[in-house]
Amino acid sequence: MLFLKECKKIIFSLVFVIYCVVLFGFYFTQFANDCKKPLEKPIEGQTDYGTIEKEVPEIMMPAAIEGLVGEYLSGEFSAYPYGFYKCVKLKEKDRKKLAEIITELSGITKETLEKFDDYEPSGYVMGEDGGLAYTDGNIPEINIPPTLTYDDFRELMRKADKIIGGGSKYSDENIIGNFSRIPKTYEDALEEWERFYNDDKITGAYARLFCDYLGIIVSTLPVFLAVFLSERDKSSGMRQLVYSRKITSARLIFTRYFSLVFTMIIPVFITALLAFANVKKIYPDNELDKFAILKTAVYWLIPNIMASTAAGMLVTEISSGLIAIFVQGAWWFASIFASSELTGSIRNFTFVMRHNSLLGYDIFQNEWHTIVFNRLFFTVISLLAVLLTAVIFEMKRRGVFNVKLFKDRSRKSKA
Amino acid sequence: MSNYLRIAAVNLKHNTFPHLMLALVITLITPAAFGISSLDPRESAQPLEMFLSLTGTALLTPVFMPEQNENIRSLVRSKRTDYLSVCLIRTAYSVAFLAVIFGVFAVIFGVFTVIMHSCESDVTVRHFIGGFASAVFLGSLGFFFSGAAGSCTAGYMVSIMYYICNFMLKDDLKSLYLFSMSSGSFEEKYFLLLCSAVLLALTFASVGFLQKRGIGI
Repeated sequence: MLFLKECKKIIFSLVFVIYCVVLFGFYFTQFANDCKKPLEKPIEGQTDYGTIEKEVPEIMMPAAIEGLVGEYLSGEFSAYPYGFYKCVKLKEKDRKKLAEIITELSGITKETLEKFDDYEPSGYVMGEDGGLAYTDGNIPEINIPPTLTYDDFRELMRKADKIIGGGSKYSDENIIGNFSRIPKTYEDALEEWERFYNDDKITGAYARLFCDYLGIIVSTLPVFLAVFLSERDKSSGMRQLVYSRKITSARLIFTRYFSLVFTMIIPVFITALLAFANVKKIYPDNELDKFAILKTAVYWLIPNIMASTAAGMLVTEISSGLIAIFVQGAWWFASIFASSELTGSIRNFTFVMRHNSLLGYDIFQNEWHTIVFNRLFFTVISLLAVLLTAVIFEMKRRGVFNVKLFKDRSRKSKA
Repeated sequence: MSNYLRIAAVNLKHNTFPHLMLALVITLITPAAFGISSLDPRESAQPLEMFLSLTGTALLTPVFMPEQNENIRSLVRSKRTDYLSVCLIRTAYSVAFLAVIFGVFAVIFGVFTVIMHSCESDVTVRHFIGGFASAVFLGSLGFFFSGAAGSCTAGYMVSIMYYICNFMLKDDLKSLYLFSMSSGSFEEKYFLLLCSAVLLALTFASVGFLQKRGIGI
């Protein structure tokens, strides 16, 4: 049977061994490392329960405006447009536009901003005695116009973020986390823990954390196996032999695709079982859902494996394995670093879904409809990509698709 | 000598060209993704270590790629020129290209910061050496797996996976941490360069061994 033959070919390949080593390595260094002791119930009377992001205009508006004025006067803006830190310096034309926004927000005139040369940032500085002392810094006096509504403020901040180039502290994604945090009370902390315990029933939370970590690598590793299988046929001269066989292109490509997906799911399921054993070890007296991690892995991770495999097969068929790895790498990179938020940032087309916390059951539930759409979208798009691969394969077989988008130079070596 | 130069020229044209283009694309994306107007030496190291180092994977991993095609392998077997010498030439110019990419990038980066901030640049020779060391190590990993295992895909896989691990396993990787300059330490770079040299030598030794046993070329 072709399916089993393909599975055997994959399982006994070096690339599959590396896939398993990386997957298990990731499981042990990331998930198992976070799964050493139970999540402790908050105790009343603690001095600090951490902070939470809460959209409070009275806190956010003055803090964000002060931040924007400070960065404007320093001449440098911190931004994370692609997940990495970027120090943005604006051109004169953009500085003028931003000065107008600052005037609208703070009442500070353009002239005052231009003439102000005594800027000092607020923060902790080392005193003469070696101790740390907080300084208020020095910026012009801010008078937020009483007519400025919260919606106008957010709109102006969006414009400021656009001028900076996106990914700044003032973007919709970052403004609350940067300028509107409030201390968590005991009641808040207890409520969060109770959601983890009663609603998530412990395993639900660990299932999300497991998929968050493994999702990072199963979104990119499958492309290597897909490329390996396709390139092996090309380099060993098996293509011509395959072309002459009776089997239809659709059957061959889909069998190959499902054998790749099937073999790659096996180690994921093994790690899911290990994860459950790990959770059971730290919560020995609790009744846990044995299949929670496995179920979450099915809807969370399989679409990633399917999409990465399909993309690898399609691009390799159109051009070459090198291009497929590069395209998949760029897609993965853009998805991972598109958002600085590790929890609560799942959108309709987010490829690598993140929820790097045992808490946040409510955030995940609020995103549920988006998640369903997202996973179905990647499943369907993967199957369409495989269908297209089969069509291209058939065209090549008939000698219709002979033009390569990218010339495969390795096959024409004169060296 | 002229024979070896001719081999280098033909290989450059027919084998290395797409990989060199890929390395140049990565180089051109780097300033767009990170910006190159930073004043801080640690921040200045970020684009070199965290992105430009991928040029090492792009240039060194595919050194053995052409002969992983059965038809070319048969052709190479029939040639008088020693196969390992050809690979050595490819490796030498790939490392030289890496040095040029990092050198030019560091100079442009340095000049840019001088113009932007009207002050002495924080981009130093250490940035060049440090970034280059990370790239060569990343490339050597791919080179080793590609050569010793006879699979370029395995080489890319290991190299890229190691790169990804560096974002998460900073403390575990210790002296083999690629982004140490961004954390303010340079000591790791010497070790990375040493390991790269060992990996390159080990690869040639293993390919030579396989060749003698009639397993490889």
